[in-house]
Amino acid sequence: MGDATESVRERTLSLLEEVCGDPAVRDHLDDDLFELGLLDSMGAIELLVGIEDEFGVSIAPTEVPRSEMNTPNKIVAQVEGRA
Amino acid sequence: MGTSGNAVNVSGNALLEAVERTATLEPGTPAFRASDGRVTSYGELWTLALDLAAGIHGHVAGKDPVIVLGRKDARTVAAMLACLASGHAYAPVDADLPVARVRDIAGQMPYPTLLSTCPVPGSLREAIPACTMLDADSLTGGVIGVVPGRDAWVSGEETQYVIFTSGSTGRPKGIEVTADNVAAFMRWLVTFPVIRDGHRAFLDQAHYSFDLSEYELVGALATGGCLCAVEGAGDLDFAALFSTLAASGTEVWVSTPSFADLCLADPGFDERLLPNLGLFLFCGETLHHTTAEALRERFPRAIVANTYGPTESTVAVTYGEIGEVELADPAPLPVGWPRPGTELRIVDHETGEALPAGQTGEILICGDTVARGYYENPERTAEAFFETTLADGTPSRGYRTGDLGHLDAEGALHCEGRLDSLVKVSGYRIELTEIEGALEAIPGVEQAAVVPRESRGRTSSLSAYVVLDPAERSLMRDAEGARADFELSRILRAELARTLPAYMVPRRVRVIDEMPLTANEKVDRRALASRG
Repeated sequence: MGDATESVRERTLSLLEEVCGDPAVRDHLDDDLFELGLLDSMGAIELLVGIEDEFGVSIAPTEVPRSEMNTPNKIVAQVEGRA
Repeated sequence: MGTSGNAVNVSGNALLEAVERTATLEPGTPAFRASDGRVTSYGELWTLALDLAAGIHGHVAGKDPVIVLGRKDARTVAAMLACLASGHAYAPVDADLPVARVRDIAGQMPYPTLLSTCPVPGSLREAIPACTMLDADSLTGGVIGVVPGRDAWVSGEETQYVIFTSGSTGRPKGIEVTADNVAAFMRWLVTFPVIRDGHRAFLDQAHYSFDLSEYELVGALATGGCLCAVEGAGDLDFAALFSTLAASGTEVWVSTPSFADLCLADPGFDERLLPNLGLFLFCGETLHHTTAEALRERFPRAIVANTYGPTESTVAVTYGEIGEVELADPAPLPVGWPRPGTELRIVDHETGEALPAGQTGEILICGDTVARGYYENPERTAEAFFETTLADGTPSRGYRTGDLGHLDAEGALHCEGRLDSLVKVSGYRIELTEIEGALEAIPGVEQAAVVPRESRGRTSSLSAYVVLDPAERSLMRDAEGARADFELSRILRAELARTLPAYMVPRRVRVIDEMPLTANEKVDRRALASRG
């Protein structure tokens, strides 16, 4: 894992923390954020728009089902795979 | 009493008459398309409505409202029509509402009746033991009673529906809209572009408990149009959502701007998905430039229209199309011009003095769509509603919206926020004080403040700040610090979800040591909001 990957990971987690409004996202890297109540549908859209602004990466919700973007680690992986 | 606010329509029920007309003249016309593609025709819908009306008539005396509990289902639409045809107002309640919330609604009715078109959980039955429980399937499955005649229909100044919204006192507040109000709204709605062509397909996405849905219910059913149900957008299953949308062939789009933003997040939301879309109708919250611009780009042949109105004046009272000229002005988009029959007045909130064009004040709405008032609440009704006379001498009701705005030189209305603590999140009206009250009712919570959180110029979610009782605080927090705070936040949110609808539960609940106060000892909401 190089520095560039580290930084994408860190920036994604910061963004997630901002959208969820709770640093606890970092303690729940493999937990379902929807089940934890940290993300809802509007929050998820905020996150996608934030990812596009931050990384210039566009993730179409129709292409990525919720089950592939429901934990911090999965979200980071989606961004890393595109950035 | 005269027919206050409505000189044209004296009796009858315009909506039922329109449905009956289509059901008689062209019974095969599609009236409802479920999200699984199943179509119910006008003939079927009307037959079902009359069967249910006979059942209600046989079980419920008097004219009290009937709670209709259900999802997006042709039977839910039939149940609402059946209430009207048997002389009852309907109070639409979404199937996902917490039991305690339904109990708070039923508890306001002297003789509550609940008609369900979905399974009713046992916990709900137990919570409302005094409520007469009817279910659509058994009402129509057995012996059909006497179908009530037209003279039984809800008409004139009788209440057509009661919509319950967030109330500042911690109880949901019912707004009573009359048959004449709906008839007046309908006369205007059927003149809208695309809708006036008749037989159009309408997006049916907003919950029936949210009066935005009256746009498509009245718009479609008055013109032989079809309601195209979309459910489950909250699950974020975009693939399913988009395939339902594509199959619906939607021509008239009715939603909050938030729902359009959600769809716009996917590049596949454009005119290839919905090639026949001719009109976007927005209401319920601020329409932003970015949303309108994106829609005009992706749907170059569709009209984007902004509208405005509180539930207290029947869905909407202004209409304005958003084009190049409006978008070129960076100021917030106008909400349009008042409908015929509505007069808008801008007044100084303190003195009541009328303000000229260009000046900001409280928006008063006067005219034939102003509701009867708040259900079983004469005090609140007297505070917000008043009797007045329109410019042409017609007596009418008026309503103090609590919204701030101004009229421009051309007479278009511009909205500029609220006088009180009412906020809109995804179009839902929420009294912050109601959430604060619900938090403070939880044992261990000493004080709570809820503030809207802004993102990109719009209210994206709510944040709650909670101060615990000292005893509770030492018990809960000393052990594990931040980790305990997170668990506590989860517990408080789960506790709130037991009594409040999901859209009222703040996305984040933070435990703080003490409330920041302003110089005059009030909770410093600005300081809380800046904590993010």
